[in-house]
Amino acid sequence: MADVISGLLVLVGLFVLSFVIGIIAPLAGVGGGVLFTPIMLGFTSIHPDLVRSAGLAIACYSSIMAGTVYFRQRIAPFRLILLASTALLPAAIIGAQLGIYVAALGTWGQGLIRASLGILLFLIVMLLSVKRVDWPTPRCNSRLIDVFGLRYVYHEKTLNRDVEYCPTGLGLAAGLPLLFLVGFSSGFFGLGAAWALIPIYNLLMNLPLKVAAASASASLAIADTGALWGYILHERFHPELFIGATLGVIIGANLGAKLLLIARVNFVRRLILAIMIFNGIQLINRGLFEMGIIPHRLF
Amino acid sequence: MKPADHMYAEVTRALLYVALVALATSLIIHATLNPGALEELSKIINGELNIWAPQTLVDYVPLYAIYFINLIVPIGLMYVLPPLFKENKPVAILTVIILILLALTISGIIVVKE
Repeated sequence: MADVISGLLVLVGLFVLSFVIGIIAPLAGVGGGVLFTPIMLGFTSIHPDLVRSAGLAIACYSSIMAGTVYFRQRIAPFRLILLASTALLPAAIIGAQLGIYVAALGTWGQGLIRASLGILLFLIVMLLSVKRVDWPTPRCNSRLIDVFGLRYVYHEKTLNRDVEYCPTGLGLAAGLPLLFLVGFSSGFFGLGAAWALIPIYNLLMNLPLKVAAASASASLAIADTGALWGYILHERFHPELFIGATLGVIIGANLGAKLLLIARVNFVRRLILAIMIFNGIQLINRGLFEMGIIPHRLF
Repeated sequence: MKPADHMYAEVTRALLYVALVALATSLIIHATLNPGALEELSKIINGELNIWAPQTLVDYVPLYAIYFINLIVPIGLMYVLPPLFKENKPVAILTVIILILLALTISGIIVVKE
């Protein structure tokens, strides 16, 4: 009976933690999965496979939810996302399979996942501070754009006019290999990837910032569905953890999106970036210890 | 016929709401009828468990809810294939490739055995 009660407390605690992560993530400009996975891997003893499958589920279902809004409004280009998914999907499947294999190597493998995720967190923080372009001039003269029908128009309420956009042909060709890396990291670490997709869509493919952000949110649904099936078929999930965390973050993220309109975003954003840096240091510290590279954990 | 992106958004939204309700319901049913699942959570938090498979009949309730939510994307893509073929054939062909890859993954054909 005591175990049941403590399990119930774990479930409630997990839901509350996920809910809080869901609220604060939009304030920092990241998805819930980007905070959930590193925090759980850095500060709990839950097995990396179970954390990553739950993190992947959060990223995947949030992305499906984003698509239901952005595809209708044409802020996210459906055909471009299908094209991107041809690179993201196989990469995410490979990443998930390799992630499961590495974690099965034991403490060393789990340490490798933690340490490399810690390093990735620093890259995420850096990419979040890269300057973006709000309204790049569309250059829709590539044959690729016509072949795949990637010329889009949507009505921008803040400008009160229609905005035409399309990716550049060169950006598209250069972006697809990068998308492969993004898909791989999403499957391997069980992370969302808007942090990487926004710069690719905005700076490389020349999409307006708003379109890039919406597209990044809606991009991972297909790829992460494939990666998730890898975890599910390997039985690397637990229903209570999986469902509790997913519902917590999704409900929290809806509230967070509303809070975004009234909160002092700059302060919260800096605070969360500081937490991510501390989380990154903790993951590297713990990972290197588990790999046997450092004899003691520094803290 | 509506454009493919509108149809995809509509069908995935409807399925997602049903799936989220199914997930929440299955969690309550599972935790109530199988207290062993809560005991497992205590083990999980200590890192003693990393694998889960259904043992009892009630374990299939959350499992099928999870299967269902993970089928939303393939169902949505299959649903929009006809309008997509009318709108843009190259993208429709890419979508068929995506669906084949998803089908191979879901059926376990390209899942690496340990």
